[in-house]
Amino acid sequence: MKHTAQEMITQYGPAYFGRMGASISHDIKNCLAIMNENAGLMSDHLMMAQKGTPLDIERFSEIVQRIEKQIARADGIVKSLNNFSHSMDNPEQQIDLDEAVGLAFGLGARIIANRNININHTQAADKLYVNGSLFFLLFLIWSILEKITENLASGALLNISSIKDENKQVCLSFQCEQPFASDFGLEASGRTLDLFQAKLVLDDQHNRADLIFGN
Amino acid sequence: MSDEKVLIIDDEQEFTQALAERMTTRGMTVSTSSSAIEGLKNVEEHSFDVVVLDLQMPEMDGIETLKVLKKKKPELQVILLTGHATVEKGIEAMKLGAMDLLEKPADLTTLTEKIKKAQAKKMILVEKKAEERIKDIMETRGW
Repeated sequence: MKHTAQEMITQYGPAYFGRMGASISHDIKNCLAIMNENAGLMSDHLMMAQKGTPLDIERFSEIVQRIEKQIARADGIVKSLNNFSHSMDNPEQQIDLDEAVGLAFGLGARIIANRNININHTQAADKLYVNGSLFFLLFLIWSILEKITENLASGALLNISSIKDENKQVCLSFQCEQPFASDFGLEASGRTLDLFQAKLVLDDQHNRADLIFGN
Repeated sequence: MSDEKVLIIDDEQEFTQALAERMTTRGMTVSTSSSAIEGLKNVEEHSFDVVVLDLQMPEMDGIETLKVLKKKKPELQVILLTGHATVEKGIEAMKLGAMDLLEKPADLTTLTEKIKKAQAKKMILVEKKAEERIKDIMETRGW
């Protein structure tokens, strides 16, 4: 049964936005908490200096650097959120596959981190493009990523690489030493596959899944 | 009253480092652990009054850690810290015996007050436990 993009947005859009929003806001809160404690530390040092303890410039500089690091981190998170928010602007566009993988992973990084899964993303030597909606590509990549990592043991390493296969088709490959779940039927991503004329191929050992794009 | 012995368990090490330093300046004895597993080991090996515990962590989350902590040391007081506290999580944490739940970024004055209250509560529980033990010994030995 074919589903229109609009039907799919109505059905899966809010849940995906909600899940990613929760993951991102949690990360931003962590950045704010670190900045808050380090700003407090600076305040403590200044208070001690006012009472006559000489200010340790090196120590003070370290604290400033920690705050700057968290500002850069929060900025990256908000940029991802902004890109995600605009992902529905164009129903059809040429998308850089590796950029989309980076964004999909960045949005759900907290969820993957909580599962203690390490992801190694190897980008293609030349840029590979996929045509379609960025929102649905992110949703498709995330659905696969979430399903795959759901059953992996803590500490597992998942390799993701974008390649052009022997038929010159753009392919996103997910590989792990451990087998993925045998039940690989993804209702939502199954429908999204149609939008990209794509297919998901799982090998016999269940430790490699290839997302092969048709357009 | 003696200094509060506090353990902070959070995977954000730059957070625990800064918070620990500020709490130490305020007279508390603070240890840190960057994972639930490490934190549980720390609790086994050392004595703490209060554990400040992050709700979302890799491998074992705050709720699971809280269950284990309360099973191992029921008198230990736990204050949960979270990026975003849902009402459901808050209720679940309280039912499991958490003393409080604070949202990040937390105000240190508020956290310090809660730690002091938690330490006092732990002392009462420890004294009560000791009284019960003495009573039990006296009854069983017939003194």
